Amino acid sequence: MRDVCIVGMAETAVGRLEGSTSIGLQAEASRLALADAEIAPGQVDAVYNLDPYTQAMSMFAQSLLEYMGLRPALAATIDAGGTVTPMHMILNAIAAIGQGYAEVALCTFGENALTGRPKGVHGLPQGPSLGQEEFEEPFGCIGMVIPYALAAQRHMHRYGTTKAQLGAVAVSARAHAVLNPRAQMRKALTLADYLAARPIADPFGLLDCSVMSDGAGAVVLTTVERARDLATTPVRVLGFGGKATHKNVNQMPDLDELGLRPAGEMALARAGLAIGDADFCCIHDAFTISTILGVEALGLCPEGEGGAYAAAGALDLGGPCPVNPHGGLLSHAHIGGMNHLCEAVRQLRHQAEPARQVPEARVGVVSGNGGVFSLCGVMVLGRGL
Amino acid sequence: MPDYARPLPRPSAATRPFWDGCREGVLRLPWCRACGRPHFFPRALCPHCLGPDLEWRAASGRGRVWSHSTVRLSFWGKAFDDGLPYVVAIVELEEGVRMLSNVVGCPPERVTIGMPVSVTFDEVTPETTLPRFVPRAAIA
Repeated sequence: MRDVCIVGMAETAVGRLEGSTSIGLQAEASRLALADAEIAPGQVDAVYNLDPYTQAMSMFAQSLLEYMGLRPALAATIDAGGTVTPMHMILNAIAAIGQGYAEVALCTFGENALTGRPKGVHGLPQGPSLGQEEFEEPFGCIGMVIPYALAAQRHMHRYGTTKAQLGAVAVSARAHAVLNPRAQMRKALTLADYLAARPIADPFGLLDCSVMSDGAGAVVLTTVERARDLATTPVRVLGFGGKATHKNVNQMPDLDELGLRPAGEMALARAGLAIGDADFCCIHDAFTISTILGVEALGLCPEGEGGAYAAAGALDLGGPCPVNPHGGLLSHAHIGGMNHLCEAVRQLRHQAEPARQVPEARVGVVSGNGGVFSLCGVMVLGRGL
Repeated sequence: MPDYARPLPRPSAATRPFWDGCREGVLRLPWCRACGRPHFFPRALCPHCLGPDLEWRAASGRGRVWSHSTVRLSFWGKAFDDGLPYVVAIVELEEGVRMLSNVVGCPPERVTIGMPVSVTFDEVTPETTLPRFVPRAAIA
């Protein structure tokens, strides 16, 4: 096996990008990431992406390589689910490059989720099936907000988590986004603003939910040997761990049996590190409850105490382990977790704006999941070779 | 009822006995003849042991609320607008399986985790009856 590292990273603008297309956004992020790596497009021999959630498309990796004029040896659309999908793209890249089937791999996700969805549809539209048709949708459990609300209600019941503690997650994410010129949501947010937001599905109001975004991100991987000749600061994948338990919320195990904890333990063990070694975390935060469960599962605080941990300001820049210094899915953008990985690379390269750069960051932990904590993944990234 | 605009289940061979049971006013669960355990949702094999030999048995229809959310926005066009707010709940049946449904028959703010509930059947179209749940105190 050859050692592999991340040598290119880029994001497009995010937010409301009128006239954008999913393929155009992925191509733009890919072009920028290749330029960032100083690798010529003709050298890409593996392409991994995901088709848009707002409009399911077949063989989308092939559409992208055609659009970009690439002729790689390998191309695949990888749908592991939600924010864990980019990690599985990277795992495929590591395997392909490590085994010598490819030299340069391009991984990208993005879509026009904000402007490209049908008018009047909340959250994901009714196009791609989430598998809820027979035993959830007839009862009005549609999309992802209600499933996560059910998880949040369960957390509040089991551990006494409060609405204000959920709000602390949203407020922290927004405070970071205010410092991030790339973020979609840059207006300061107070707990009072959060509590006054429009109720959606109890206990969630609008500001418990991640934003819908147009935008894309991409990373480029190659061998460590090749990276030595490149100008960029390489970022290594020190470890990965995963665990699947179910798909839809009606099959979700109880909160202490979710896959995020074993995924995190597996990833850190593989890296030979403990969570205390992490300089920052990029935690899946499609909804406020996700961050609370994430800090618990990664061991930043004891089980059940994620709400108090957030309310104490421990997620914030300057805290013991800053969480989502870009603003997360809640306030930076929701581009399928690719922005979590891009932010981790940016932080590890020490390229974030000074106000939100984690000083001397060397290890970052990224978590993701598809569905409602269904397929969980944790990736540990490290600066340099 | 001809204007029923909300999503409806489309039963398959593996799930039709469940939906037929609802139309008959019986909540049925699939049980595995190999490992002796029930499961839900219904499917063509047992998720505990992959045994394909299943039998349908009437369930008690009783359980407790495992989690719930009061929904205040229609996520299916405007189809749920006339029913807002409504309660989506995961109910843990006495048989040990959980199913997603609705709690009806009481104000949403009265629904709590652990609340005892019993099944009730709601004929939403001539073809489809949905199993929902009511607080058990309400029918005792």
